[in-house]
Amino acid sequence: MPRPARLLPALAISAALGLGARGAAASPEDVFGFGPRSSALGATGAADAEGYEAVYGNPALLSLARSRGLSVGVAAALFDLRARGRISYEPLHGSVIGAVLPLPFGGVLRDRLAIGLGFFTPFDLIVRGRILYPERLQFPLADRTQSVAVQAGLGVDLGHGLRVGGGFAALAALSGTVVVATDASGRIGTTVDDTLVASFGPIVGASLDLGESYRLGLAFRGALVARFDVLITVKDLGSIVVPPLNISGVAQYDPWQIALELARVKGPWKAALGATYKHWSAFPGMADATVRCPTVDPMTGMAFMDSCSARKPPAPGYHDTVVPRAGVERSFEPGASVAMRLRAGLFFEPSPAPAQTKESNIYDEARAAFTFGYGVELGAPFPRLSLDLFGQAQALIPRTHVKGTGVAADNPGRPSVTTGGFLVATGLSAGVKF
Amino acid sequence: MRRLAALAALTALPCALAALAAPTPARANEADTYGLGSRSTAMGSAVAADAPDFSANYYNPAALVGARGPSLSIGYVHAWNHLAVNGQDNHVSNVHGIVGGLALPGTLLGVPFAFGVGLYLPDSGISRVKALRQETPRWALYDERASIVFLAANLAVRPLPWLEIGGGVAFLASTRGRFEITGTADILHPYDSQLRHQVDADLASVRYPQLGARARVDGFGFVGLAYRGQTRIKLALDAHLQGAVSFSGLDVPLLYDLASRTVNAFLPQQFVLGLSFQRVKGLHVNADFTFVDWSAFESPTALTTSNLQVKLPPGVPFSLPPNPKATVVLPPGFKNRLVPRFGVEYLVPVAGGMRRLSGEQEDRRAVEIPLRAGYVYERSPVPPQTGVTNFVDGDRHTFSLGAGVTLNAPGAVLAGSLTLDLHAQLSVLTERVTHKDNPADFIGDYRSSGSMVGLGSALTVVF
Repeated sequence: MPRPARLLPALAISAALGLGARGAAASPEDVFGFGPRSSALGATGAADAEGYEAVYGNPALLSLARSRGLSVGVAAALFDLRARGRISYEPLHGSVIGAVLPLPFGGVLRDRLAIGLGFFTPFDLIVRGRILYPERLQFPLADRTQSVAVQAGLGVDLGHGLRVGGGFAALAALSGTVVVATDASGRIGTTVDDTLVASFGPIVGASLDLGESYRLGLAFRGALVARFDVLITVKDLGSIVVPPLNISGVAQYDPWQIALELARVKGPWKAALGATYKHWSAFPGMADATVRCPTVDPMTGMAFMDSCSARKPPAPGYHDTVVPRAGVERSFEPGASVAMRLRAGLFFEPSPAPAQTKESNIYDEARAAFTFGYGVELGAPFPRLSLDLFGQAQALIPRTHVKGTGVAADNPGRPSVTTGGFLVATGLSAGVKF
Repeated sequence: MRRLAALAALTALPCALAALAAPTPARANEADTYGLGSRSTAMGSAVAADAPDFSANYYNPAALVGARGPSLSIGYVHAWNHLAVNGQDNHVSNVHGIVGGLALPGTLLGVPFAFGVGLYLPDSGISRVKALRQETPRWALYDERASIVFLAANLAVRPLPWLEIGGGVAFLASTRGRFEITGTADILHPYDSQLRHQVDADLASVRYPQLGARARVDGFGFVGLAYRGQTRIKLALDAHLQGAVSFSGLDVPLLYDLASRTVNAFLPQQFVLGLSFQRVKGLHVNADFTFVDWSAFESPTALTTSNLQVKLPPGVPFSLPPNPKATVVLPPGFKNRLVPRFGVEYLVPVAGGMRRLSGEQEDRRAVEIPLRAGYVYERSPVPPQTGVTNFVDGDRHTFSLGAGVTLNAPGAVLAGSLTLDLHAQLSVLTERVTHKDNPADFIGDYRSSGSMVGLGSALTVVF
């Protein structure tokens, strides 16, 4: 009767192979904003995004572009997150590439359409898929930023100050199967077939000019979910039945959100004020059950009648949030061909997560952010170059999580944990219009 | 002097971009196997000196700066693979997906300059992995290699009127990760098993370089040089299992560790010399010669080590399996190859009056029909599989045809052109008979052969 003892090693092998093409992603722009200008203006953009940054802020505003533009840059962030001491997270650092192309149609389509591309790529990875046991003290926020951002959009100027646009943000998700079975020689063997699939979230927007100086912007960003689902099936092991094992979960998640902004877009003083509604209550939690109760018995094909007490991860209990944002930009023109811009902004990101009073210690706290930046742009007779930089400081609002009764004595969150910390981000981008 | 400095700085741009891309692990792609873009594929991919559209993002980034104007392309390709061993189809995955990109030429500091993006996005997934035993027969050069995303961004400049230089990076992915399963597996009531898992994995970004140069030769056409870096995907996984097997009320503690290292697919570095004869108006005759460094090919067999520790109580009615021996991966011993490619295109002006196009020196007919053909011969780099391994392959002959229709300055809305291209491609892999040295070989002798059929189209707007 050797089979039971071979079973778990076989499962471990197959599960390891099943993770062969792991992939998932999410958007650091949800945490910091996208592009140096937007990030300096309190992560606004639904009404005041410029250039390639509009692919995320509001694709409708791409149609404002009149010149081909290309930007490259770098961005970085540090995390000082504390829960009964500092929890170590790797800093984020990556490259930014953005491009905008006004489509040079003639006739009725002249100066009406433009497309944009925006990429952020961490230097050494595409996405971090980290799903830890829930009782470990952790801040998923830091890992959520370790992800590539790939976005593209099209903006259309409909005239009369009305613009619309659409695009998408893309992530990667993993779907796969691992079959464990005895082979012709009687040994336990595995067959792995994993596919890395693209996951898309739509981004649509509209803007309306209110006179010459003000603009109203509205952007909808669809949920961006990066799952991994590796199903391990064990068969041909005689009378022994092994349940399908789901090495699965949500590695990265952005809720669908609606951003509404009003901006002053003319004159030496520009400003934006808005809010973003985020539908966090749909967040399913990061971990899935390893063993799921079936509705149909896989052996008989009949309704499942056997007992099933496989453990289920608790629901995260997140709630929706509203993020207020504000940004201001002051332009100076020391010379006829040089424009300089100082920027500053604020936003407050409430936490969707409840206090961790049960077994889980998955922390997420409200953040108050101060942002700032500087930009310089050259015009003729100089080459049309620009340089932008930004900085952000986000403070986590301290919160004390007191465990309720019934929590295991060895839970590291007992009896209570006070959390807090800081995020610091910066970036630099150089652009050219040609 | 200032212009000279600007020239030097701009010329360095593409090289710097390519230098950012260390030759790190990655995977092969559709462009390498079937071609990128309908026009280029129809011409046998013999376009290292003649790819002034988005396909330059793969074939020769320098040619981006030769684009007539800003252009956008989008298309679709589908390739059916019929690869068989002993007459039985091996179900090598078909390849299909969206292809497209853009080329944005312009001027910077008085120097012609361009930016481009090329993309192939399989609609069956970004990439696919199958893990097979070393002895399992596999079409290693085709199975899954082409079912992977291709995304590249490039810059190009024309520092001298006759010279174009370009370079950039292509992006792919490799994996490193660790996972744990803990809990108790109930053998008699499996759905009562109390198991859970945690994952700590990174999908690591991969960048590999592309470089190219193209020179105009008066009275002939263009000569192109291109380099594509070696890429491969590495998979590094570690697993830790700690728990118990529950059997008839008896819990047996168990500890298991596993480490797996795999090179899943491989794209060799390539050096391309391309010639494009363009002396006759409307006629392009191209020849490319690609040196492919297949000798660096790494076996896709997984290297796995494991350690099982179980404390069996006395009287337990089953025995333990021994820890398996580590797999000894045999060197594949692939051979370097020189791949010749030939392509021809003739542009037939068919209808309409003469139109002035933006970026063109000569007027063109309102409607033109490009006709194209190509041929490629790829001698198999795989040595006779007389031992344990079974890398199945054969010499590959590829014939391609293509045609399109171009509407020049079709109206006030578009001062450029609108082109619809179509192509068809047939690859024949000649029969190869494999004789094993060991008459008791588990797989035995076999015959292999196959064919591939590809169809595709692309719509291109040039402004």
